[in-house]
Amino acid sequence: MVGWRFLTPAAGDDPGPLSHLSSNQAKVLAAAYQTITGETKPESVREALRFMDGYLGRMDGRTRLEFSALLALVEHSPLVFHGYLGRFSSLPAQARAHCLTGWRRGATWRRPVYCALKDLSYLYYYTRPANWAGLGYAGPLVSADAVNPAFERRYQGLEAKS
Amino acid sequence: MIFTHRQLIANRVFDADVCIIGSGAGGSAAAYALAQAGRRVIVVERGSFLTPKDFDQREENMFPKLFYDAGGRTTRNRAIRVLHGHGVGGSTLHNINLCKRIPDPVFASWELPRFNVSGLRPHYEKVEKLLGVSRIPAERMNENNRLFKAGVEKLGYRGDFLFHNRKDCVGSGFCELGCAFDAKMNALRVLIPQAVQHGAMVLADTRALRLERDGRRIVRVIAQTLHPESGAALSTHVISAKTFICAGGAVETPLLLQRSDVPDPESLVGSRLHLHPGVAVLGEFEQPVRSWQGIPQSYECTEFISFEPAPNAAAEKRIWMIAGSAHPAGAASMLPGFGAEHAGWMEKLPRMACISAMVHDSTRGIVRRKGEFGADLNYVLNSADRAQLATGLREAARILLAAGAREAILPFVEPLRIQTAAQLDRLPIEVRDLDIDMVAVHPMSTVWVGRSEKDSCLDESCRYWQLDNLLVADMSVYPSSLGVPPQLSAYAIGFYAAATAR
Repeated sequence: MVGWRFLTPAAGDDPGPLSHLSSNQAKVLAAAYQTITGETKPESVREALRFMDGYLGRMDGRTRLEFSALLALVEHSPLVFHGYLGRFSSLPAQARAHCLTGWRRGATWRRPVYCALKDLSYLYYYTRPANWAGLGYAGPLVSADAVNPAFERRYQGLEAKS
Repeated sequence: MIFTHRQLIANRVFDADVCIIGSGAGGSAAAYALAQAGRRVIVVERGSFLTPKDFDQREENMFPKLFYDAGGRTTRNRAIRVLHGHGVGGSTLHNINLCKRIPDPVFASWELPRFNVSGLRPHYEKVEKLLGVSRIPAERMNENNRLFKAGVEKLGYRGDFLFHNRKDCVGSGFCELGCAFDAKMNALRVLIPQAVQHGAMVLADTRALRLERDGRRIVRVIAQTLHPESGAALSTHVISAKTFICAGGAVETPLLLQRSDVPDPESLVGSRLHLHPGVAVLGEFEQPVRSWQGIPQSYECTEFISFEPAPNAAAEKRIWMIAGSAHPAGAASMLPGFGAEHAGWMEKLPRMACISAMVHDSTRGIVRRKGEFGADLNYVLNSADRAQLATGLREAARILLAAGAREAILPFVEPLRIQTAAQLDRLPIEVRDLDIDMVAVHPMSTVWVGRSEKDSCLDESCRYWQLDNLLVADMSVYPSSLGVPPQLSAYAIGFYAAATAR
């Protein structure tokens, strides 16, 4: 089965300025995110990218480098591993799903790639209240402005004045 | 006082009697004891000072605030996710508050004349009183634990209620994201405030870069305050002290010692890493379970763990089982597949119970630096531990089926779905790396106590053999895996080490 590089638009529209992901990396991550979560709304994908970019910023520099390498590997490997002519981010949805299945079920060394993309994607997707409805999950029981002041009082005066 | 990145914007020079690096269970206990004894104490803490208003019960916000590498740290081979925390209060902010002492046979196996049951007893007693440790009452069990208990009892397995350190717990179920209801009687709520009241100073958002020494003595620590969001360096501090106590946990403590190039003639620092890796089994029930509601872990099954020496490997029992729970993003990570397949599993989530099986591991790993501040955790499970985990998977599934699950699910890459105990008995179960999610939350034993500097890093006072004024007071100090949650013991170690530092 051969994918057609130019038949589908690049996954995810421009998410705006990102701090840690290049535009090419963002394209790959957006494609993976859509394939993993089934999300189709461009605005949601853009939001997801902004979130994932920020999240990567909280990781150790070496881990971020490894993640960059992982994205390059996913983007450039469809031909080698799956027989698709084209980059991952340019493949049709079904072909991308086939590639990800390969990362999931292939040789052991390939699985961390799949796990990293999956974990990051679902960390955003399943922390959106809109996606909790089907789970019977009510979400947080507190909001920042509803914390019992008695709890905070225990810590008042501990922090030095700025 | 507690100083954060808001105050630590200029370079500073500090002087203290004792400098403690890390404010978790061990560090906070040592800080409390030493400040109370009149010592000038400075605590350096990599994470932020968070209070109940900051614990917003959102996974995406709390993981980066509470865990190293935003919760994404793994062993080198990526097979095991290793969660360990930072923040004023350390891992006591996110842990589930289970309290167990080190079992007597584990102490006995160390054959240490002072670092033993009687040596630690007064410190356990002190911490249990301070933290209000009590048994979790039966009426506080959530549905997940109720089903777990029902399965354990139906099979005639050994089980009991756990002890915890909570007060006025409302059972929100968000323990692993910090407690917005301030019900954890932990380092943050109990020990740090008392240490500060006795004059201790805490430098939050501040990383210990290195220890500097003069001969056999550490003379200062160089530390850097970082912006908690961007990680940008804001200021650099020099902290001089008479005594230094490392309490950053079993990953960060050896990394700091390695960065500081402390003498280590036998290359022991960082080796002997134990993790207590765990696997989870799911059970689908007819009725709602909502494992994320209520106290997550209130009951244990001890049928498959024994601390007495076994006559041979086949007779070993090293699996401890408790209920497992996760909020949606955490659960999504564990459930198999992606896309429509995964969505199907997620739909069942409200009706799924979960049991976690943790191995009292004999595997030994090594902690080394990865880049400047990263951690390379070289830990590959040995075959004996894999066999134990396979037993854990099988028995957890059996318990779920006995409790009435219509199906038990072993979440391998290709999930195993089991409807009957007979089917379970016929099934070969093998634990291979990256074929099933493994998580470890108890890194330990990387800078351990022993009788000789040839085969240990610390003497029985928790003092580093090669340096006169450096102690360690965290989960690094255990000479072996414990097989029980190590938090309570880390507090006790903090008091024990403080007695030396005094």
